[in-house]
Amino acid sequence: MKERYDVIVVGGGPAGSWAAKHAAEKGVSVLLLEKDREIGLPVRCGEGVSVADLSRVVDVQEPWIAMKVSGARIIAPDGTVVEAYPDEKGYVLHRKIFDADLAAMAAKAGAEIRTKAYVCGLLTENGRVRGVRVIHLGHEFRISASVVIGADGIESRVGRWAGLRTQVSPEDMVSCMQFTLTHDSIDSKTAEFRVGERVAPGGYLWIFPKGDRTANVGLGISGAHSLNKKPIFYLREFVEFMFPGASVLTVVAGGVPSVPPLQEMVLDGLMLAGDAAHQVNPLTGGGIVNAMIAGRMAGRVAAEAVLAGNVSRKRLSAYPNEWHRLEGKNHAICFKIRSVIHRFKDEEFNRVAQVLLKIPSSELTSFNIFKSLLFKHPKLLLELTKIYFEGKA
Amino acid sequence: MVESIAVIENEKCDFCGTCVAVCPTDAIDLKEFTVEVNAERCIGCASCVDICPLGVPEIKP
Repeated sequence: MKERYDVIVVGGGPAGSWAAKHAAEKGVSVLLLEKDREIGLPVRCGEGVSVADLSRVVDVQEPWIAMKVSGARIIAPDGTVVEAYPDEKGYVLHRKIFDADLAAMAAKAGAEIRTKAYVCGLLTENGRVRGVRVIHLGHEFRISASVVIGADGIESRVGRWAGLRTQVSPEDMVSCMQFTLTHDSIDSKTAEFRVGERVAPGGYLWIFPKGDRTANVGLGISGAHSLNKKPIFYLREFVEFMFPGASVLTVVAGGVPSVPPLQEMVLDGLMLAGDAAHQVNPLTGGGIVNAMIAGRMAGRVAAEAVLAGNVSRKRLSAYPNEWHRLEGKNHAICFKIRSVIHRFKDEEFNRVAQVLLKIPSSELTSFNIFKSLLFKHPKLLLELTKIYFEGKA
Repeated sequence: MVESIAVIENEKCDFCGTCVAVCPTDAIDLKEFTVEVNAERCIGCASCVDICPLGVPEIKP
């Protein structure tokens, strides 16, 4: 590690690696710091991703893929099964391998990477971020940088140290719990989703098969619904019922912010990307591709700003501007749909499922599902139309 | 009245950071190997209790 870099990236997930890679490709010096001893661990993710989305941002490699799934089975509270999305393909990833490879690509592009490097504070000068303090293998280092990119997840310590309001209220956070299970009955190649007040109030339960009789089985519950009964108890109940005697290979807890994107993603010499900037999809909770898109934008803008000798907030704002232009509308629409669905009672889900059953499976695309949903909720349609045409919520 | 604050037992914690993200006063921090509650900052609001997927935090006097 040197005493100075052009760009320091905090956090070695998809947002951080992609920011580091794209900054390094522009020829600036980049240091990527990961607090854990190994990139990609612990996995804190359902690991499901759309093939179309992932292919937009990276050349997909076979070792990343645990399972190729097609279509989705949606199960309503009354047990109605809707087979949907026949044409949509997904991957269930091995995040451990995937994340490690993304970091390796960043290294190949010229970024320097350190793991077991715990960032414990920012260096500031006249209120401006000038670098980080990092504990690496028991020694504290002070490393300066022109730009610090915080890709440090929902807790976003970097953002808070810099004075950004990154807090999310409990009602806007989805509290998640997942087991990676192995059980003889797990033999599906279809992703399964379950909704309802008894299974996952204000959220949903997922089963993503990983092959070899294993699956990620997890659920997310809106913070407004998790006051008395925590996700761990909902999950245990479901697993005991569906997969009695299953072995639990991995336990993971986590939170997904279900909010509009962070209002301020940049300051002088500072940028936030990925979960830290609340860029995860507020409807599905999917954040891998969102993080990579934002990381790429942030990394490029950071490098260009360094090369131009101007890392002011104004100059770095090219990143949030681009993000809002390309991603903002979709994010706002997903947030609006979520804000309606998370209040659904069981009867409403059951009614929507009955409407969907009348549509042939081959036509149950995301578009048609949302059309049915909107038909039942004309007010939502109006609000979405407004976002679509005016670009704002 | 005795002021109550959040207590988080590290043995039960998965260190996912969700409580850190919802804490309105930045009273919770993920340290290198632990999660710590700053007693000076904690206002005992129980946001961390509400959101923890594992139900670890408790408000205690």
